[in-house]
Amino acid sequence: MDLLEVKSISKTYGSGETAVHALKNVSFSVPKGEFVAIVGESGSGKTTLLNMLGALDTPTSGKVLIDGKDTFSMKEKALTIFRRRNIGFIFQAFNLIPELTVEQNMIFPVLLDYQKPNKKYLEELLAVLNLKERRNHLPSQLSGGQQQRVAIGRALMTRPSLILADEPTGNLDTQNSSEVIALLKEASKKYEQTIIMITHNRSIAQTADRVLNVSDGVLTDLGRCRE
Amino acid sequence: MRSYLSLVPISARVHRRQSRMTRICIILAVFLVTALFSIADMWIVSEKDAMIDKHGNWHILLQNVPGIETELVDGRSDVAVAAWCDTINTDADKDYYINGRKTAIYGVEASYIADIRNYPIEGVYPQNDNEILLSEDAKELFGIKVGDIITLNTPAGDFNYTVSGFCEDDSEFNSIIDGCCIYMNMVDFQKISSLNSEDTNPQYYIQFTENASLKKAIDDIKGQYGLTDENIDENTAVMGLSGASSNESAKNVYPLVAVCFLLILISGILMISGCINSNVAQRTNFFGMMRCIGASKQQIVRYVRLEALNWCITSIPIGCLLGVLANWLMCAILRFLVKGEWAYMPLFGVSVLGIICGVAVGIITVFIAAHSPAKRAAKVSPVSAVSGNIETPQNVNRVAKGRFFKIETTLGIHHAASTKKNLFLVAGAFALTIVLLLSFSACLDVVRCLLPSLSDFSPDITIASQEDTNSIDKNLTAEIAEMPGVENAFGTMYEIKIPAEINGNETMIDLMSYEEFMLKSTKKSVASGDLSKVYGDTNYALTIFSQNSHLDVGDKIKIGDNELEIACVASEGIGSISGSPVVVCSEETFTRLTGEQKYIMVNIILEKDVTEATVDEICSLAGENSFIDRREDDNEIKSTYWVFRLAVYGFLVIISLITVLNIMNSISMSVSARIKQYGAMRAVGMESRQITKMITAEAVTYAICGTIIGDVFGLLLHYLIYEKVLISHFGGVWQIPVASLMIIFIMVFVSCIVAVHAPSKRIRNMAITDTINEL
Amino acid sequence: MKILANKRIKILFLRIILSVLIFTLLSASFAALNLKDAAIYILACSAAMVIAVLAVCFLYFREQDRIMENAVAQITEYISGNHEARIPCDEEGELYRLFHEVNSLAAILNAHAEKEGRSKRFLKDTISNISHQLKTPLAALNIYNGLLQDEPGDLETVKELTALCEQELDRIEMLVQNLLKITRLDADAITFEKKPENVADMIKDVELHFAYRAGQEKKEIRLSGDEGISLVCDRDWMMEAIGNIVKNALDHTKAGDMVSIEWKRLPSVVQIKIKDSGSGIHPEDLHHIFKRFYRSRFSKDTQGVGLGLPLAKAIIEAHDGTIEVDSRLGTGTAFLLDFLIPTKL
Repeated sequence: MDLLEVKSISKTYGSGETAVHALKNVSFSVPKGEFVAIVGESGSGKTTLLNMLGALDTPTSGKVLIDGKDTFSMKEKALTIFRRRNIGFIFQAFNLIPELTVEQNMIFPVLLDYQKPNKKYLEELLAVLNLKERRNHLPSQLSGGQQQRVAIGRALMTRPSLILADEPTGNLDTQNSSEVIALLKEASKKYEQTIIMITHNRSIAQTADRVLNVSDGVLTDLGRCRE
Repeated sequence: MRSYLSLVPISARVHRRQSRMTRICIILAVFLVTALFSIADMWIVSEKDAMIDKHGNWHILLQNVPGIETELVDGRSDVAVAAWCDTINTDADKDYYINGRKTAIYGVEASYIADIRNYPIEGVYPQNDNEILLSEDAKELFGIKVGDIITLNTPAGDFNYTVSGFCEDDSEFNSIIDGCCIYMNMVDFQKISSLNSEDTNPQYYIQFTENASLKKAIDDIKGQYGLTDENIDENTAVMGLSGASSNESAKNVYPLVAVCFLLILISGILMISGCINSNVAQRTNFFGMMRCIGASKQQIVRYVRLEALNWCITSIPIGCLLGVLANWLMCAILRFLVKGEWAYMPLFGVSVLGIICGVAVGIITVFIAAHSPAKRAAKVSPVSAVSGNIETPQNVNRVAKGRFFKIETTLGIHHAASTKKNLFLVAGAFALTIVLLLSFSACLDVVRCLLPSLSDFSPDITIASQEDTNSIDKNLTAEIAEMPGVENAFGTMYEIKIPAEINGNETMIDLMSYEEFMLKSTKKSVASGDLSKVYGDTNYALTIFSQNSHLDVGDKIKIGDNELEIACVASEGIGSISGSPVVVCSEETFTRLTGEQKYIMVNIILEKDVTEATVDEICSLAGENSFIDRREDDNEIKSTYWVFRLAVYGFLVIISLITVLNIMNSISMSVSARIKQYGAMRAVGMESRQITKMITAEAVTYAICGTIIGDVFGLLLHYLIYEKVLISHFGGVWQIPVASLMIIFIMVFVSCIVAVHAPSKRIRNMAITDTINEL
Repeated sequence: MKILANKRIKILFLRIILSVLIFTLLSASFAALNLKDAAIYILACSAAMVIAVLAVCFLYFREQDRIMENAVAQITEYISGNHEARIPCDEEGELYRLFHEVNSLAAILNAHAEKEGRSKRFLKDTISNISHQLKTPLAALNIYNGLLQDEPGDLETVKELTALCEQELDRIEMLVQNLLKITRLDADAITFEKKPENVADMIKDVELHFAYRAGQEKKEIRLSGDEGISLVCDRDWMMEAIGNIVKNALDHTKAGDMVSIEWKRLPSVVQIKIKDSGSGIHPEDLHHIFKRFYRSRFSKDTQGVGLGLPLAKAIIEAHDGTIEVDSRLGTGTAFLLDFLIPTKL
């Protein structure tokens, strides 16, 4: 069983003449540990697809199975808890809590689950993300690339089985972009994380194991970069 | 960081500015409740003190119980003080004299004077036989001092006693009996009593301790000694204030205070809820992000609640402190400036009940107020964090093509009108405030008219003829007017039940004269007609409006051969004595009609710094006529009126505050909801000034709607109150209350400015790119 | 208060508190009302409370038992072969965290199993690929050998044929070498000797390696970068990777074109850029160039086997690096190599 199975998802906004088909019958599946890139121009439906995968939005038809669980048939409370433990988000706009330090930001989702953060794992993440000297700084004292790294750390801290990244390098310059992508890749390998990354930059997409293309709501598999 | 809720204090420290409004509201609510309860508490305490001062610090007295074993009563743990008191000649009709002055004789135990009556003693209670205490005024009356010997003349003989001290007893009583009191110990008293064969009725006064259950103690004693209700007399005045028997004023105060508490609670909840709502609406991004990283709805609700309670930690103590300080201020003002019945207000008293209620109000309002915003925060969809979109707006109507206004004004008006619920709430709040303001100002006018002595020529001292005839010489007025400290002295001549013909009808009238000063003062209360015609010796008179008389301008009154025409109607003045219509004319006219030359009554208005010596002189000048000093009463009435006025204004201020806060929050929330639109508008070239105009148009729309509705209903109510109450009882004419309307206008204007200021500053300081999102 | 996060435990406590409260209220009212036999009533109430508390606890533990049973059933199910079995765990509380971790464990086991399966399949594929690839040159050798045997005397033909044989043998050698390298890389059978190496020196060596060919084909190789930058890597393997890319660049450029190699150091990565102004890569091919044995139909290079770039990518990734490609038809291609600088732990 693959970690993520998407079965014939469609999303339509509006109805009748003003209907907008954001996604048309999209199906694919992702095994555990794969780093997938989803490419496409603006307005092609990438973000809509990511919202579906993260169970933030419901499709007009079709289903998404994460580790065998149908996310849309779950009740709201159960879905929240499921999302908390199984999905990590990395946004284009970092979305860190400005009043908390780097370390506190990273352990926040763990606290939401009433857990004590694993000190050893935290140290390890800080080292890998090159944030050890900055652990007590506020987000306002960090550069864009560093903030995104904190966001990655936050997503990794709960050890979710699936990480969804929405244009993680969208707000970064090329230098920082390279760093961030390298880190994501390393995390994917080291912690066997399944990462789905949305980007419109096709050269960045090269680094992924597999590339999916969304164009006008239709998904085409551009194949794996590694057989 | 141990829990996700630890974020709350960290965040609160950073966002002090945004939560300032909410904290001020909490402080306000707590302050109001604390002050209110404290003042009520202090008032009860002052009443109790006043009662104890007047009637004595005892709860029950036992009488007609010979042979009662007082040691047993004394020994009871709930009895604080118990003492005997016996009296002779308290009516001052028997022949007991000291130096020719009537004397009332009291046989008392030491504790009676010291603890039950609390009379300050100069000297000591009689230590040996043949020593007595005299009342304080005896010192001056007889010119004696401690240690002197006085002689008590009784029907059975004369007795000499040494004065061991003077005690400040009830001087009112002494002046009524025109004598003094003598206090002796029980042994000496028995001697006098038996020698004069007086049948006395000794009374045993009992004062219970603070914590005693009065009802239980009384029943106990009753049962123990087999007493009936006849044997026990309760000091209702003091007991009432301890709650054991029923007392009107205490009963009335607490329900009133409870109602106020509820009102403040509800208005506090509304205010604070609005503020927290506005705060939450500005942070949808944050809540969406929290939901995205795994916070459940419950956790967000708990977060918002804890945030609100966190603000309480600093706000409630400040509110309580302010309340206590205000309480002290009010007590000081009432005690020293207003005086009268407030003279017993304790200074620096701290009411524990007040503080507890203040804290309770703070916590309860915040808890309840946080409920709705918490739910709203939890409803934020996690998608808004991903894409930055706040919920898609509901059906948007087309904007009417405004040809009158520029586009920004039209948009502003459209924003205001688009959410009917908001429009209703905010305009409704405005309207309500205006209606309340107008009707309360009408009520205040009614109250002012009801209190009789607030007119300009209400006198401080009245000298009236004992036999109700015009017998006081005019020179007296002149003489008194010359004295220092006298502002004005004027007299009235009066003739009641003069047969007269009014417009042909035979009836009776009361004729009265006004001299120059009184006519001048009547100018203010002229309801219709021309006052100037009444001056001098003319055929014109004025009439005082009352329910019984329906004289109007132009009515002709025939008295004997003379004819008077009513030139003017006044709504205030000296009222009718016999119930017939009152006709007032000048002194010259009066003398011409009746031939009287002397006054029946002289009224004197004193200056503020008049000395008692002057008053005494006037008193002696009054001679045989009755001398009435109205100053105390006047003060009391005036002060009560002022207190009432203050309370009403305070209430109105609270209501206005709520309205202002309401509109501030509404505008702030509406701006937050449209922040992206405003950002986009700025990006395409709209100046900040135009954005401010747009927001102002929105605020003004709310204000105008509210004002129109409020004015219509308010004026209607005002008119009704005037018609039904004021005019029917006091006459006069309804006028549009321009002053109130001006105040309303200013308040609306100020609230609009205040409401627009903060959001427009926020938008101006925002970088355009912050609000526009990439897709 | 972490325990109360679990809904069932919270309800348990609430119920117990409720029973105690009811009991206290009832007792208080009995005492206050001064009924006769109040003591007996209070006793009865306390007994009732104890029973209520016991009942509530019993219900709770029974529910817990049921949940445990269900979990055990799921685990046994998984062991007996149904790899889709999972324990329902979407509630708050430590117990459900445990279930969640067990589920994760199951998923990881699944993933490992699949990886095993995939490696097996991959091995099979590789073997078949190798045999397929070897078949052609072997067949050619066979033919040449046959021909040689047929005409041993003709010196001309023998020379020609042996030259051809040599070519084929070279081909086989290169193929076998590449295949072995890539297979050993995949199987993690290679240990890299990573030492800090000077990037400038390495690249200069690579350039030297190709200098002759570049000169011959009239193409320019340009280098630029800091002399002092160093990278922790295995020198030989890294040179091989860079070499493959440069070879690819040279294969797709014509005379007069330029190949430039730049390197620089960024805060956390070392970046090497290999640019050429050649014919570019067709966008349809862009995603497939790192696939093994992939031959583009637009490619004019008939010699290649299609292993150069995949090998380079495998080496680079084994050094904790990434490789990106940007290309425009007719303008040129740029390969971007990023290596993470490992931080001192």
